Amino acid sequence: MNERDVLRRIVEDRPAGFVSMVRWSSPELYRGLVRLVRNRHTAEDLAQETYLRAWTALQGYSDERIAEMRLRGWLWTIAMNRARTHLGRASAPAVQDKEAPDVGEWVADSDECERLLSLLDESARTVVVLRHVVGLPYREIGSIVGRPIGTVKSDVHRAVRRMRESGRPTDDH
Amino acid sequence: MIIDILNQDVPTPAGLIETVLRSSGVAHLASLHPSPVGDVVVVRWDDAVTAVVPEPHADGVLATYEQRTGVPAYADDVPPAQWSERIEHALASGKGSRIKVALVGVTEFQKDVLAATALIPVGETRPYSWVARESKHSSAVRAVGSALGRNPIPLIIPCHRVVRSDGSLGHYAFGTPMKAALLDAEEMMPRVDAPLVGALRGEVVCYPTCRHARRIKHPVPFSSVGSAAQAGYRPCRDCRPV
Repeated sequence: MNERDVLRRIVEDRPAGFVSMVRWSSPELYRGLVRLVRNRHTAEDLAQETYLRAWTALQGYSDERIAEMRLRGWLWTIAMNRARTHLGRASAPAVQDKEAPDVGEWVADSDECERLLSLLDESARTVVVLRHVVGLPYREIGSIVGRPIGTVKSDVHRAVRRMRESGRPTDDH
Repeated sequence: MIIDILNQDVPTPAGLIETVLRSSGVAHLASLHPSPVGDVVVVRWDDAVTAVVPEPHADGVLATYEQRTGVPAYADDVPPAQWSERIEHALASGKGSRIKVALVGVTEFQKDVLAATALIPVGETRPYSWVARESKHSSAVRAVGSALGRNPIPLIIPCHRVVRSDGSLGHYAFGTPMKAALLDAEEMMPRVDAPLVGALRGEVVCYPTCRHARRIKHPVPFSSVGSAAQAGYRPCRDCRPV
């Protein structure tokens, strides 16, 4: 199923369309949220909140409005709003801290992807995740984070260069 | 490559989709309840029933539920007491008309047929031709039979109360003996073995199971609405014989 199919399904049958939308988008939504907030449990909660809000909104939209939606960007705008308070937190508590809740849910520093992303500040991390973990087009990212496409592009390129430079000598060409 | 590392998959937790669909109220819920035909799984969406399935067949029906309706049905092991009471009372008493139903994944024709069938009161029967006429598909009597055979909400939508004009019971998805047993339990056995009856000095002709017909002290049998009309009887406005 692609985005157009999903939108068509939502127009013809809101509940069935919502089911299709959740199945179609949840792998990407969850993956992106985990990389943004670094915690699987939080990512799951945020995904749920995102979908609940999406469902409430969809029930009130006209067929015409739905047909014209950019679904991925719309979902991610909702997701980013929900995720806002969880971004830029200090990274996972030290592994030795046995009192820390959900310590197993934090993405380990030993995860290569996490290691690379943790080199970035919150704003760079966000755009890199949206671009290279989620795969959104720059135009969508721009409207989600509220910055011009050109700025987003150069932020992403600079961040990728930074990550590349921190790599082992055998990485990249 | 950096991009490859960033691209790597993070497996979606099992149960995320189910949690989302349950908490949004979009998923339908399936619960087990006793009934005159044994334990049945009742699927609901909010407070409307979408399916009634005998327990032995439930797994098969639930497995294809999303395919037919577009939404999944998940188990609701401990349904609200209020729901259980309402549905079990309706199943036991045959008073399914009080229960809201939602016909999903059925054709318009089936909806018409089932809506007409839902009108048949407890303890009464109607012939297939009556259902055909009531559903505005008079010429499609055989198709009516097929549509009833695919009734997703048996017992609540009383397809067991639809019988042949010749008095024989006709088909039933749970088997003819079950149909007979259900009708028996509703005490519909008419005193007169004729297609229609009127009162001796009456004006109205009814199906024998019509509640007015049961009160007739000296029932006069008729073979058709036409022959009753010739004798001066008009069709009952409640059971509307055809």
